Amino acid sequence: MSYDFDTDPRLDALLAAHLDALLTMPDAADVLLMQAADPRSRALMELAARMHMALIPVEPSPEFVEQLYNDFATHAPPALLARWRNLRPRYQTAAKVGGATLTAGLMLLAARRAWGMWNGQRSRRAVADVYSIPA
Amino acid sequence: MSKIRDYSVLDDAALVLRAHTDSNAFGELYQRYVKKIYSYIYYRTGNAHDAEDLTARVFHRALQHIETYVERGLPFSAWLYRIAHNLVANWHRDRTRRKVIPLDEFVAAGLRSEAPDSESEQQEEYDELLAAIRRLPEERQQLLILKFVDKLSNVEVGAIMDRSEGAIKSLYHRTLQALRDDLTSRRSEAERLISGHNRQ
Repeated sequence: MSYDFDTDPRLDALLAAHLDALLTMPDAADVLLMQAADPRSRALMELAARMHMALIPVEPSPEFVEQLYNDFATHAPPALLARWRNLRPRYQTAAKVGGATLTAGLMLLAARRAWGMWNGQRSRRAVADVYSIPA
Repeated sequence: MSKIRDYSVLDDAALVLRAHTDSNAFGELYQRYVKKIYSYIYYRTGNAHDAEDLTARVFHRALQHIETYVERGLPFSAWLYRIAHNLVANWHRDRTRRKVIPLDEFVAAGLRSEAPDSESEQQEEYDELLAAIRRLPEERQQLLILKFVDKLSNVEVGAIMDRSEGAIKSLYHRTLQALRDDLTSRRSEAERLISGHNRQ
């Protein structure tokens, strides 16, 4: 098998398959290497195998991982204001209208109750005045 | 949203949604990716201290912006790698004023302490290879680290680097070729210098 080394999708695919095999099934990578007749494709596969040995995964210290995890685990969810800012405009408008309606309703209820109490007190005073009952 | 105990059964997209209001969901995402992100940053910076610092910044930034993250074809892991890539790029820009420990020296020092003498020759070969990787353009280094260290698929690497799977395969081929050319030319140069020295 011979290749045009500058642009050859077949060699791209062969090298990609060899790398996947190196990472998951090393025996299959050896088979691909033995089957590669062309010395340049063999050389590239051998280079990949050496890189696989040299580029070893590294891990952070367990203390670092745990400390950072605790930072996130104790992190409070985003503030209400921050979440409000992230809402889409139409949802913000709907929330404003809903909030205003609710506030107006509560104010109306409170006003009616206050009016009722004030009226009741006035009536009691009027009755007391008529019958001269001490307040 | 109901409380659950085992977050490991949820996929990334579900965890991202929960993470808006539930810090434990973000904790699970963190545990899934912290080692890979650290490994990636370690090989891009060449030292453990900066790798830890930048890893912490990646996850803090992700948490800060998680409400604005919308999947739209870019998996959460790819989004994290892109944050890491941007932070590493900024770090490389800033480090010109600082003294830098090259990756090859740093990694080699760590490995030598564990390697018996019989393996030192092989270690020298790895050092030479790591030095050659460091001389590659940034995107090629990124590709090799994502493939060899983090063991990502071509589709995943493509999502991170914003390229098609075919383009990733092609870039990998060209990267291998460039690396081989670099190693060959350096060896030839070294042999020429040695033979010149012997003649004198």
